[in-house]
Amino acid sequence: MVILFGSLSGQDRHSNWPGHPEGPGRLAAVDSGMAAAGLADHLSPLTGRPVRREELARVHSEDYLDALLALDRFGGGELDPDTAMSEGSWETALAAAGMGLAAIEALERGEGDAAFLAVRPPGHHATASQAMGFCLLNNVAISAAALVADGQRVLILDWDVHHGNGTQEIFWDDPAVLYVSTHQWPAYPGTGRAAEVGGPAARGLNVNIPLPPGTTGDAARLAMEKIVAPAVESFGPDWLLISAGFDAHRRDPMADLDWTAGDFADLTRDAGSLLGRPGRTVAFLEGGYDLEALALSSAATMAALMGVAYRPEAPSSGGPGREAVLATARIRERQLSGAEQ
Amino acid sequence: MRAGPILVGVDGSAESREALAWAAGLAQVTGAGVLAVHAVGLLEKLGPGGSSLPAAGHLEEIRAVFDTTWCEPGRRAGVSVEMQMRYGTPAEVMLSAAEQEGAAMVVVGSRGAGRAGPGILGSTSNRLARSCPVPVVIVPAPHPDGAEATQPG
Repeated sequence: MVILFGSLSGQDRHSNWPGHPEGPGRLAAVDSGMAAAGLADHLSPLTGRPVRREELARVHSEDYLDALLALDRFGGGELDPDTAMSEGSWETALAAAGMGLAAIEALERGEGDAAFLAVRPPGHHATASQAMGFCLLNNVAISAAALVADGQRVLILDWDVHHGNGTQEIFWDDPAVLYVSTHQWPAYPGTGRAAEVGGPAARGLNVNIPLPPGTTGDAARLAMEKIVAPAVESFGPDWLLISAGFDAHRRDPMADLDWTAGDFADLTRDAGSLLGRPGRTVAFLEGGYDLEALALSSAATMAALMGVAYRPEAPSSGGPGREAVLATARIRERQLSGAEQ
Repeated sequence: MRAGPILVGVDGSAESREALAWAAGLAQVTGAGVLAVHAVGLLEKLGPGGSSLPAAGHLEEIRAVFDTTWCEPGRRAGVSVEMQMRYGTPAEVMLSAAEQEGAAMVVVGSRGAGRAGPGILGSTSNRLARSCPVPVVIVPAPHPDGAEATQPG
């Protein structure tokens, strides 16, 4: 298995402000996890490519892009109480978005079996017209939109601990995108209820699986089996894009789920089996703020993409969350059967 | 002025305290209720010093400061202040609260408790001024010599 590894480590010039948890040290942590797991020699380096304005504009409004560019020319500034741009942020955000497009094109050329992208700033909170939650450009959405423009059907699996409100909003009524999110609830950004199932043209194609604090990985595996697998089978995706945040790890300071690196390995394996075809999976780094947890979890994910059983921590189980998953299944069933009446 | 509460954005900044004082002054004159709303952001999961706050204590801790400190200008004016916390960005939270609560007007400080220097994009007051369906009052920063906020009247 050849895994393409696209990283902005050492090149990113984005800073929110000193001491902010979403900092350049995160990409170095991914590098160190990969090295410690002995994966570095098995990855094929991926070079990014410039992203064109029209590729951004499939997802973001022209006014929003102009405003980000203006703030970049101003030297940076605050976007919301969590998020800022520095000198170099725009360039780094473009590089992150372009890395996704480069990964898709390389996989289409048959150069690899999957791709893992260590990029920042993260993207899944960014809406069409608003930066928020550390996110500027919605990297996974820009790649998904490119695939949709090419007639492809896309499954986005978002296991970041926070709901990807931006991705949900962007593809809310798009019948070519199945968006699936597991996330802590209640938590930032306040969206992500189970009853949010998609717009009129994409009813059922928005799958939110809210989980209570303390949830362990067995609940996520149950969600994959009971909710995600049937939705994916019915949808029939051509591509799997993963919003791979690692802040559901039990050590992460930004949330309260109890997952381990082994859980991320299991989820990666299960997600790959859902798609059932090689060469069409791209994982994008989203959150993950405990650097040791990020190192272990990202390495476990990359190893699972390779088909290697590397679990530096055992998968977790025994916590709450299974009942929430079953309740979500019931809520979705009610919502969708109601829509058909 | 239509019926409904005066919605005030609060975040602990001097500007938001000034906004609440201004709203309380208006409430005294009009008899309207004051609803103080705080947008809970992503970073608020980290407590002082950057350590993580447990989920159960996270919102309670914010609520305690909200109640005892941030709403103090309202109580000082003898006005009852209701509190709400909502996840999201300040602008989105204020817009949704204004709609859902049938607010008479929205009052915010000229800038919030940001850390990254002046921004020119997406500031709460700018966005509200463009998008809010009810009147928006933007209260300037406190005067450097400590003078009280201008009272409506």
